[in-house]
Amino acid sequence: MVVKQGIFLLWMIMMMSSELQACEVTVQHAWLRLPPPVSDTAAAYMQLNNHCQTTKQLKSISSPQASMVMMHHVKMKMMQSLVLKPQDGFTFQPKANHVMLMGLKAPIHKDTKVTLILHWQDGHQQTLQLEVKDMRGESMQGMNM
Amino acid sequence: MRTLMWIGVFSLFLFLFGMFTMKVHKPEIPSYLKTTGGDFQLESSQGTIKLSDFHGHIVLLYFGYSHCPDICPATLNVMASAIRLLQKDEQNDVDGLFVSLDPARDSPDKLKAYTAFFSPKIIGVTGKREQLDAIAQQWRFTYVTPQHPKTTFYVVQHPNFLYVLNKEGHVVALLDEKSTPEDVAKVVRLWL
Repeated sequence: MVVKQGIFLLWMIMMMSSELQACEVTVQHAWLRLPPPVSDTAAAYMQLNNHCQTTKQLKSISSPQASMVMMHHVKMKMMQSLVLKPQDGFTFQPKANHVMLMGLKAPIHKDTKVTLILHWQDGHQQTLQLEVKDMRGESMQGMNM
Repeated sequence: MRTLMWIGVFSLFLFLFGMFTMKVHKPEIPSYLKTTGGDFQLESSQGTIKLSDFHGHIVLLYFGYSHCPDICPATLNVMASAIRLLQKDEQNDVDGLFVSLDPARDSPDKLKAYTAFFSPKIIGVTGKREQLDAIAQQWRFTYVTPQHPKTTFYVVQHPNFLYVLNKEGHVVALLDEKSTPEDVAKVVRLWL
């Protein structure tokens, strides 16, 4: 009986820990502003929400389509990392905090997808496919998420 | 009945007079802007351009750089959309000017291709660092372009003002990144 209870408890702990690890920050409204063809930089935007029970730390972002990706505050100050406590959210949006892709390896076209990989502190990598939006002609109200 | 008719005629007269004076008499330039600005000379893909070459036109002026991923394209979108909101004859009297504070990476030819993406009404110009330093002082803003960057992936700290210049080349309004194309078009119309 005691052995059975022990196994059950162990199973419960394993299930809970794997659930905690598997829990992923949700990413919504992820998109990239279509840059001019001569530009080798672009800005990406998204909304992150941590619905997990643990704090999540975003260490860095990379993209196979860019030489370097950085997270920037509104005044172009680089963010070393992003800490999201349970139930915390963070938004990268136009004319504010944004993700900067530098050294684009090929021109980006409208209606294509751009891949971003979020590198989390716990080793988890989260791959995103961003829609490319041509914002010319959009009013600024329409640009806010 | 006759009194009512006269009141109507008088009201119409007041309305038309108001419209006329609004068109003839421009608004007052805010005093804090009277010491901002001045002529400068920079290089475009078409050769040297002076700001005073635009006299007779309203100018929307922005200082940035082409590797700027967020605020510069957003502001150039606003500038281009604001011009598109105007009537065709009004558009003829308005120009956009984008001054790059990053001459090491922005050649005049590159700036031509960059600004054309947003609007053919926007002209891209740049110059030597000393010229840009003098303009920053004259136009009362600060900027930081790394002198000896370790990589080509560097950022430039630049102002986020959108200057509106009247037909005499004076700064008449200072808008910022929160301004919508409608806001900009409204200010431009005041000075046309």
